[in-house]
Amino acid sequence: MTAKTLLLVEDNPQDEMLTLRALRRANLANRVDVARDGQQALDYLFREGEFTDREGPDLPAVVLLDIGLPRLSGLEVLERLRGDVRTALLPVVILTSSDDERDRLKSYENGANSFVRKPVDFADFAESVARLGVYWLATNEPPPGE
Amino acid sequence: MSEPTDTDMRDKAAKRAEMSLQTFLTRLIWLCVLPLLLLTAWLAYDSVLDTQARRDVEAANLANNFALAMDQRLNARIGALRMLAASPLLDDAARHRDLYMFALGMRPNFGGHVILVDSEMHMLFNTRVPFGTPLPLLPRPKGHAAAPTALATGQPAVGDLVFGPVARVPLVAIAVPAQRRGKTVFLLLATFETQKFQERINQLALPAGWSLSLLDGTGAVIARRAPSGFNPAKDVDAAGRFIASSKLSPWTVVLEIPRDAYRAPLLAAAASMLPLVLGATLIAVLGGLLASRRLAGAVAALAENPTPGAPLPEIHEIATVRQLLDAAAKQQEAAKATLRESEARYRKLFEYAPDGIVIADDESRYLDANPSVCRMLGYAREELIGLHASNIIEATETTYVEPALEAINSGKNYQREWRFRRKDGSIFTAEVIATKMPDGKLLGVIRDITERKLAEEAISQLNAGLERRVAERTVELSAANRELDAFAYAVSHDLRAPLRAMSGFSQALLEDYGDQLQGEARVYLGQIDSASARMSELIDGLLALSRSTRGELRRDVVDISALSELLLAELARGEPERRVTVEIEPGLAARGDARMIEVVLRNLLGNAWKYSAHAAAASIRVYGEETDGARRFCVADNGAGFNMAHAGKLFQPFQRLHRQDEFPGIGIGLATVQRIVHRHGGTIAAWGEPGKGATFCFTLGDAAREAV
Repeated sequence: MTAKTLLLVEDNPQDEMLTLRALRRANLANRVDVARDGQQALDYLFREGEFTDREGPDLPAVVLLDIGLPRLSGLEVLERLRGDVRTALLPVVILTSSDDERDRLKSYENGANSFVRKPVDFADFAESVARLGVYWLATNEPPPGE
Repeated sequence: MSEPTDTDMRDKAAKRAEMSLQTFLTRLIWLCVLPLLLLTAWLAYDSVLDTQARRDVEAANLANNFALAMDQRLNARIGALRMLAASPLLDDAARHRDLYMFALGMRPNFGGHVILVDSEMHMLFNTRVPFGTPLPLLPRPKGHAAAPTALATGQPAVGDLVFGPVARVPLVAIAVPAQRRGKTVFLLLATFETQKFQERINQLALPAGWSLSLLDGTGAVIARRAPSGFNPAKDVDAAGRFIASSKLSPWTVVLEIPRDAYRAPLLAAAASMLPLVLGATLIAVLGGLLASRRLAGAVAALAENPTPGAPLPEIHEIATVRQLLDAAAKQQEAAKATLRESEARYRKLFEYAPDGIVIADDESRYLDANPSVCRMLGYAREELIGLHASNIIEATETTYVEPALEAINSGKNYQREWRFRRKDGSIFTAEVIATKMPDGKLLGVIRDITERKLAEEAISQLNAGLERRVAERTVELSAANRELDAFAYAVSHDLRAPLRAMSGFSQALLEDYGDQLQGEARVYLGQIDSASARMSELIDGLLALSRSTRGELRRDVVDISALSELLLAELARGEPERRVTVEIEPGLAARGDARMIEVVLRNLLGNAWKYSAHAAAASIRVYGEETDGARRFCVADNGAGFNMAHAGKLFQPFQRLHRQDEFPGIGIGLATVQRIVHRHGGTIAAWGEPGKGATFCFTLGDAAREAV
């Protein structure tokens, strides 16, 4: 069986670095791919554009999706994913700095599997990310694929 | 053709029923005079009858008295003859001479001659001739003769008129029988010439024109006194004839009053009274007529207008009426003047009123219109008069005329806006107030409200514009709010990321290369970390402030008591080691946005909890009170308190009254509380004293006052 992968959609390079560090320090060996805007995330997931020939499984085990993204926002990406049969059931975790209720509501309405606010305190952040990685890659069973 | 007017008919009726006062008074005078006249006539007639009756009695007495006088005279003669008859001289024929002489001697007193007759009717002597003169046989007159009667009856008798054979003149005789031993042997006769009786009659006092006759038993006249040419059969009525009979003789006394003399008193009375009565009547009637003319004149003058200064009528009652009439006339004049003044006033009002005034009959046909109406409608007054309401209003309004008239005629006060049509066809709106006047005519006041209508339209347009602008502003505000949201989002998202990076990388540096860091390097990294943490708090506070009043204000019923209890319990769980006395008034309820009120209480209770941390025996009290009709809720503590001099800074964002090392905080909580309270239309106030504690009270405005 192919190893589970994780897609991180994050436009802030510092957050990307800190997220990757936290995952690494959680001792997760799974491959983590990074998309830096919404469009790139969609291209990756649908193997389009620059990701037409990408390696690895069709879909990651989980997508950690930021909301404030260039080109397409995280919520728009989520909407598109849920609108496509291929990705309708894909586990998506919203990982964002926003504590806006409307964002939270919108996320769930659009079919987010989880909503995690990035704690400002790094220690908390690292712990949250580590837990997310362990949970979605090791504990959680994905929806049945084809 | 013209029908008789009321006035004509009244005049006719008056002519039938009325008469002039003078006619009336004239009739009255005649009515008064006539009975008197009749009474006078009757009295006069009665007086005449009385006079006649007295005269009749006088006449009868006269006749009777004369008859009585005749009888006495005869009786005296009979007595004398009886004395002679009784004389002894009679029995001796030779002594008849002596008897003769004796009789002759009596003659001057006797007034007649004495004759002695034997039973054979032979005259033995007659004192008219000397004794012994041969004498004829005693004549036997026709009718009642004295001698035969006396001879036959043995009683004295008086005879009728006889022509004396000796005397050769008309005589009357008295015969007295001389009886001896019951047998008449001689007769003694006395003869008298009628001349003697005539003299008697002539001596009587007889009223002029009257006639007195002495008749013998055959009706022959012995003596008579009468006016010349007197004819008893022709000149005397039975009523004028009074007869008295002699007792001693067959004679009668007849007193006759000729017809003319008999009627004379009546004629005399009539002749004397008629002028008097006529005169008196004339005077009464003329006087009455004069008086009635004056009275009628005085009364007629009452009906005329008084001339000033004219003397008052003499008759008291009429003078009184005159005065009353004058007073009434003055009053009437005064009333008329008042009426004229009032009419003039109303006329002025009518003419100069800025509003249009029309007077119409009960079918709204105009009878009069004031200048304002004419100006409004563009008609001359003469053109308007006679027009109907429907002629001067817009065609579509005509259906409302009938109901309006019904309403006005039924006495209701009427008011409505009408669209009028001017003479030139233009339309304007006017308000009409109409009412029914006491005389049944309709009064309408028309006020041109075009300007008011324009103003109303302008106001309504202005309102529409305002509403539009409000809507626009609302849209703009909504957009601004959205921008603010976007800004807040950016703040929350984009400001946090760098902070997290600062905190994260300093942490990573410490973790990964901590052993290589020396001296104060770790402290500096710690400062970076704490600064970013504080920055993060500030951002959170700003976001809370901006979101505190965002969105629709809900009207929930909030149980302040329960919520306070919940929040304080939460605080106590966070610091289980603290001992705080909590007192919450039960049953506190407010109406407002539940989420926002929770933020308010969370801040106030959090502050109370925080600032009472150093108090020896911390206590927090939540209670409600009524002030100026407003329900307010208070949170009090006995903590650090504050100086009232700085109270103004309490509710400003980022303003703090304590240092961070005393009480940590970012100074955004009370600013948030105030925004929420203000959003509810309420107020918040604070009281404090350093070291003694602070009290915060808030109201929730109208939203809270609604029934909870």
